[in-house]
Amino acid sequence: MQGHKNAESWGPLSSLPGNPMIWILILSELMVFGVGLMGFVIARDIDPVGFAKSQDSLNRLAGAINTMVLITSGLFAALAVEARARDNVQTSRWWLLAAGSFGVIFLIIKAFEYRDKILHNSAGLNENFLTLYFLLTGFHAAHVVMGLVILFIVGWKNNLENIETGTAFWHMVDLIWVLLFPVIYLLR
Amino acid sequence: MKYQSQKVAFWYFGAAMALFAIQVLVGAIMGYIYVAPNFMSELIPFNIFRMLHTNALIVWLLLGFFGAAYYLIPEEAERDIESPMLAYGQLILLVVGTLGAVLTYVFNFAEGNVVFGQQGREFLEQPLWVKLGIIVAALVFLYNITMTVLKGRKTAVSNVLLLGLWGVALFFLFSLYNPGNLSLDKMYWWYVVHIWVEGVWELVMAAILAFLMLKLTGIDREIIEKWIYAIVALALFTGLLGTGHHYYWIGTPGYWQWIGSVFSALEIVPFLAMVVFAFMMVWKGGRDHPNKAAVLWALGSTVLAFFGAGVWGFMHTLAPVNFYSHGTQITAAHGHLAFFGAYVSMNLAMITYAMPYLRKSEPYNQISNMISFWLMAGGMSFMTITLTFAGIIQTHLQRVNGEDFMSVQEQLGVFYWMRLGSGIVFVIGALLFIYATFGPKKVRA
Amino acid sequence: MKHTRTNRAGLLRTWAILMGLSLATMLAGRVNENLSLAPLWAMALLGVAGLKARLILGRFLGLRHASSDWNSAFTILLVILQVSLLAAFLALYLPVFHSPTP
Ligand code: HEM
Ligand code: HEM
Ligand SMILES: [Fe+2]
Repeated sequence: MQGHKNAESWGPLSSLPGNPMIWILILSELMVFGVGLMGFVIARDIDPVGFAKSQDSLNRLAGAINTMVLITSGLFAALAVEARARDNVQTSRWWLLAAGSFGVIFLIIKAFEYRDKILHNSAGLNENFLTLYFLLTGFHAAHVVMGLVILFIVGWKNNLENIETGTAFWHMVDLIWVLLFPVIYLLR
Repeated sequence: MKYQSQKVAFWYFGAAMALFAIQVLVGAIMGYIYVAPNFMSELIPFNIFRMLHTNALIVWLLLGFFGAAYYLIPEEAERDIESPMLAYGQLILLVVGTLGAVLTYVFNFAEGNVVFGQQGREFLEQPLWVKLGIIVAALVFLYNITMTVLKGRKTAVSNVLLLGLWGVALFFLFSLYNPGNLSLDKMYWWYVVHIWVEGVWELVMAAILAFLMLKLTGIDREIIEKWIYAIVALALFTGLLGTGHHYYWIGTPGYWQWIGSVFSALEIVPFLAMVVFAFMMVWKGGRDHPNKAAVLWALGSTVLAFFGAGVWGFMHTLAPVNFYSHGTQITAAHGHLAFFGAYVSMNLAMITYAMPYLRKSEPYNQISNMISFWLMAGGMSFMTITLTFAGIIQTHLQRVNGEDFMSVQEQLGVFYWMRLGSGIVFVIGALLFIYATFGPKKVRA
Repeated sequence: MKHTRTNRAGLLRTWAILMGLSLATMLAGRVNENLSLAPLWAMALLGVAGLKARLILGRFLGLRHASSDWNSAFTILLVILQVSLLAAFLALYLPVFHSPTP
């Protein structure tokens, strides 16, 4: 464990692993999606019947598979850090590539879902539902895209701190999905 | 004062305080017009006073920021300002522009003229030539400050300040764009108005606060730097998409109601972080700095900003609430306390801190200065509360019961009298402040 | 700033548990059917989701190497979030909403 020059100057944030700024981001994202999901459930209270019908139009299985895709991708990202910590640069790059590839699979499945929703079955659905579905999952998917870019960058400039910080972002995206999926797809 | 060129700040602060006096006096006149509607109406109508009030506010706050930058950048960069001459030239340009705007508003001699006529959009009424002058002044300023920083020591404080001030200039460019479509017009208008006060100005505020904490407490620079990076990240994360809270009813797509509500609800966080930061630093670093008044203003600023921007902002930021409260006195209550807490107070904190050095003396007139703090903070808080009550009643009568605007206004008279009263207390406080900082000084022992 | 210490076996175990919990989510949320969830199932669903999030934080993000204050803080945050979501969901059963069955 290499100490950082000003390890203690982050105050209470110093004891968190990786760059403390990433934890500020994690907390912020948790709050944003948390408030968004609260909005979703409250909007649901206003029109439960419309929401149930709208939720039934989602492809729940696709969502569930995507959960597993992301969790597996998270494992690969964690293994990349583990390899890098043992100074195994090349191995860590392969793991990052694997993590990124699963991210791409996630996006492909997501794209099919969106295509289906936009082309075939958005008629007659609750409007708040549609707005929130696209906003929340879309905002999340944008994070996946961003995450891919970050994984690429830290694979390239691959010191341990970079890889830790980059994969922390990736795990956060994963974390958000784990909270998002049950509420939007399953809670009815 | 370690560097000769910091002296420039003195003139910026002086010009700022002159405009401050005018701004609040005009405010008091408007407060009186609210209860005696025909007062001066033949001479200068209310809407002209309103333009003077808000424009003077914005311009003096910017002058204060420029002065603060000219004062603190040399100490951070450890060298003199690149060109003091340019800095004075910039000030003259701004003063000429301000006078031009005032004359245009009051005499309205060029109504409708593309270059010389006033442009009508709230806060951005300045005629085109004044806007261009402001942009030139901003470019001169940015050149001057950026070169100073680039050739000197680079610190987090100056980085954040520079980022903020570049942002101020960049987003002001949207004031030049005025599409015919009213929805688009409003959309870009908020790029200036919202992204200024809830984005880039917050960075300027955080940088000045950090500088004051460095000087007023014994806390290490490293710790302070971490705090301001965190605050800046939070401010931008919430504030940029928070712009959506102005896109509810102007013809923009419905999803803005969700984006605006969610992100702007979190805008309270960076303001809370500034309170925690300032109090922790003063509490832990409790070096007994002789300039007690500056400490008071700095701490007071974070608290009042937290209430004015954070709490009062949150109060009407969710779309279902804003549906009713939009454009009522609640907005005015929030606008006053937020501007006063965040930007007026932080400017006054900086001025209180810097003036003794600029005038080569010990901290002086501390008691009057601190009294002026309590007069202004008290006056403004009371004014905010009265306007909030007025706003709640107005919302109920006008938006829920559907009574018409003027008949509702007549029922709010008592609140407008109280606003006038608290406004006068505020004006007294402001004049006392100017006396305390620019008046007779104690000679250095 | 600290660096995490991990080992492969531990990560694989975490992954296996998370996959198992994902199956539990699918079961509690009845992925294959269009029916409404009974309150207890809704509770299980949100509980498992919170647990998964906590595991990702602790094991993948390395939160467990941080101070115990941070660990409790994140636990509390997640509990507040999931409980509020559940409460908002169950609010449907209150008489103020006209259709008591969701
Ligand atoms: C530093 C102190 C002050 C600040 C920062 C300030 C700021 C502002 C701002 C931002 C507005 C525009 C509000 C909006 O668009 O909703 C405004 C309007 C106004 N201000 Fe002030 N002001 C200050 C002092 C005063 C004082 C002392 C008075 C005296 C009573 C006053 C009276 C008014 C009035 C009457 C309006 C017009 C409101 C309307 O159009 O209904 N202000 N001020
Ligand atoms: C120091 C920071 C801030 C300042 C100086 C400020 C100032 C103002 C002013 C002057 C207006 C009136 C604009 C107009 O003429 O229409 C306004 C409107 C508004 N502000 Fe702020 N504000 C600040 C921060 C915030 C924050 C943090 C929030 C939310 C949490 C917020 C929420 C709002 C909302 C929702 C409106 C629209 C009100 C309406 O619909 O009439 N503000 N603000
Ligand atoms: Fe705003």
